[in-house]
Formats: sequence, C-alpha cells, structure tokens
Amino acid sequence: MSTEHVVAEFMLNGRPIVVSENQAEPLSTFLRRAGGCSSIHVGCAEGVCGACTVLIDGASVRSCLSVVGQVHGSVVTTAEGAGAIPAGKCLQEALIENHAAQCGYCTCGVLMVGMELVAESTQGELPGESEIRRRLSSVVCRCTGYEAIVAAIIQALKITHEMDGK
Amino acid sequence: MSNYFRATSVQEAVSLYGTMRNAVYLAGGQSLLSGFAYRPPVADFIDVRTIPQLRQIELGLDGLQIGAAITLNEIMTNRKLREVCPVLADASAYVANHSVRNRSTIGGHVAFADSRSEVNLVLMISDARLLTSEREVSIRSTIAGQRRSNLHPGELITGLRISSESLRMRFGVHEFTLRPSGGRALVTAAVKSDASGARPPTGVIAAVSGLTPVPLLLESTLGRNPIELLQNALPGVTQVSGHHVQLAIEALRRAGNRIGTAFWADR
Repeated sequence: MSTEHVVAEFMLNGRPIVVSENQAEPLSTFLRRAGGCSSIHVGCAEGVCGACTVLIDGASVRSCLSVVGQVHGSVVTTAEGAGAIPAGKCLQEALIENHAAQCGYCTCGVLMVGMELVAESTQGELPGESEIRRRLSSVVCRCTGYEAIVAAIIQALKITHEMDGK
Repeated sequence: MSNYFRATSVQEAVSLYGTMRNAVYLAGGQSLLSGFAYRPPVADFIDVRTIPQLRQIELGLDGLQIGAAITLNEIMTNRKLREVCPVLADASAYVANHSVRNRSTIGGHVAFADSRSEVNLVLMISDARLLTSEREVSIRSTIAGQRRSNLHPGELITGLRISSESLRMRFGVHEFTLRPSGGRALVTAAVKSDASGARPPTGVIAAVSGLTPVPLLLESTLGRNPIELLQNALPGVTQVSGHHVQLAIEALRRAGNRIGTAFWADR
C-alpha cells in the first residue's frame, strides 16, 4: 500500500535527494526552500510565465505545477546544474555571447526550454526558427523581444550539432 | 496541509480514495495545481500518473484505446496515434505550450471538464467512450457544464476509446485564442465528414465550444452545412457577443477547409 510515509527519491543536479515528509509540497517551493535553487522564479504560479521551468528527465516542466512526490525516480535539472551538462553549458555561453538576458527573471526558464530543444536535436534534425519560437512561447520574456534569445539558441544548436558530427 | 499518495494500480487508487477525507486524483496536475504555489489547498492527492494501465496506447479491432495518463505531447509524437487519429494531435497542439503538454494528460482534460478544452471538443465529435474504474460511458454525457462532469465521487478515468468507425471519418479542428501560449480558446470548431471528405455522415457533424456552457453539437440535417446549422442554433444561445459568433463561423470554415470539399461551401 502506498502511503504518505513512503519517501520520494530523486536526483537534483547530480545530487541524491530523499524527501520523507510533505511530498505534496509544490516542487517550486521545495527547490527554493530546501534544494538551494534560487533560479526557480515563481512568477504566476499557474503555468503561464514559465520562469519556474525545470527539466524532469530532460523534459521541460513547470515546477509550480508539480508536487515533490511526482518526481520520485526522476532526474531533476535546474539552472544550477545546467553547466555540468554539455547542452546546458553550450547554451549558457551562447546566451551570454548574444546578450540574451536583460532583467534576468525569465532567463533560467529560457535556459531550460532551450536545453530541452538542444538535447533533442542531437538525435535528429535541427529545428527551424519557427519551431524555436513556438517552444519559446512557453516562457514569457517582457524585456528582450526574444530576438537575442532565438539567436543564442540557434548558435547553441549549431555548435552542438557540429560537435556531434566530429 | 496536503498529503500525497502514489497509487500503483487502479484498484489501489480507488480504495485509497475511499479512505480519505479530501481525496483528489492527481495526474499531470496542470489544471489541478494551478495557483497552488500561492494558495496551498487542503487535499489528499492520489497520484495516478504512473499506473501502468493508464499509460497504454492500443489499436485493435474495436478502435483506438488511449490510457488516461498519456500526455498531450505523447499524443502529438506517437506515430501510430498520429496516423490513425491525426485530429487528436491537431487539437493537442492548440493546448497551452510544450512544457505544459509534457505533463498535461488526456484523462485530466476530461476530468477537469473544461468545456472550452480543444481536446474535449474533439473527443466529443469523435463520439469517444470514456473508460472508468466503474463503467464505460459516452464522453458527451460526461461533460455536463463548465468544469462540471457527471463522474461519480471516487470514479477514476482509466482511458478513452475511439471506435474504428469513427477513426474512418475525417476531422478538422480550428481555434481562435487571445494568448497562444497559455490562454484558453475563445472559440473552437471541429467538423467531421465521411472518408472521402465529400458528404456529411449522419449524426453530429460539427461541434463548437466557447459560445455555450457545454459545446454546441450540430446534428446533420439534409442539405444544411455546419455554418447554417450554427446560425439556426444561435437563437437559443443567450449572452453571446456578435464578435464571438463571427469567430465561431470563421473557425468552422477553417476547420472545414482542412478536410475541404463543396460540402462546406457557403450558400
């Protein structure tokens, strides 16, 4: 019988986490409170803004719309752990080079959505600009106008693809 | 204070539900947990997302069966499903954005009974059957009003079935929304024709959401096209702005164009 006392175990940025109490806590709250992840920004708490986006087993997910128990057995990545992953490191550098952040509130969400796209494209074709923009529509940025972000993602996609080709 | 329980089978989920005071089934959580980070509810969440029975897609003689916990992105990327029921993928693509669709489930859409849901609209016009822990029932009789379903307390949606007959039909869907990435649809229209796209089948041939508390289902009448059917149905619809009606007509036209024939032509 599954009951509340059964723990949630998962990997957070390469570190094993065991949660035995309050698995109904929002993942976003847990990550900020106990996970040391200040990159999680809860802008709207209803899944619209995307500033709290994390990667769960490589897929971008709103951490405000998940509870801790739901990530049992998963690998959770936030911006804090992105630099340890090739797609994340490459995109971080591209975002810096292209000046793709202004106020920075949404940037960690952008990084997560972009990383998912870059990691996916290593297994297939490069996504076109319209697909990149469609994906980015899940993160609301009110400063940049997205142009620099799109340029950064295109750059990261190209670099990753070239590295894979070698 | 909320509690969380992970169910491993349908039977376990249902029996857990019976023992709890504030039980609520949790799948993708994309509607259920909205606003939760600011306003924690008092709930006993029973997580059904990983129950194997709810994670299956099967294509058989009696049609297509989709597990309730299949996500919208899975519907959009599953090759088999796309091939036999492309309209479900088309409708899913309208929902929110990629990150939400990574979690949002088809069963959750029905359970939440949002009458403006594109997915529910397509399931309704497809005459899908809802499979639950207790029974099999028509989806049309399940959605009773905006966020109101006829499901019994503790009844768990396990899957949906679209009949082989329905899979042979052609469908088109189109929606208008104010905010593409997170907003709900203003109006959505779905249309259905026979396999050649030439003639309307009998029964419901079009469905429109956004004008009424439950989607308008437009029954085929000899010599009438869906736009005429909608215009005939409108006098019974109150509190709808002319702008919405114009959008609905345009959505019907565009949905029709996707399976396009003279059947959809204006008169």
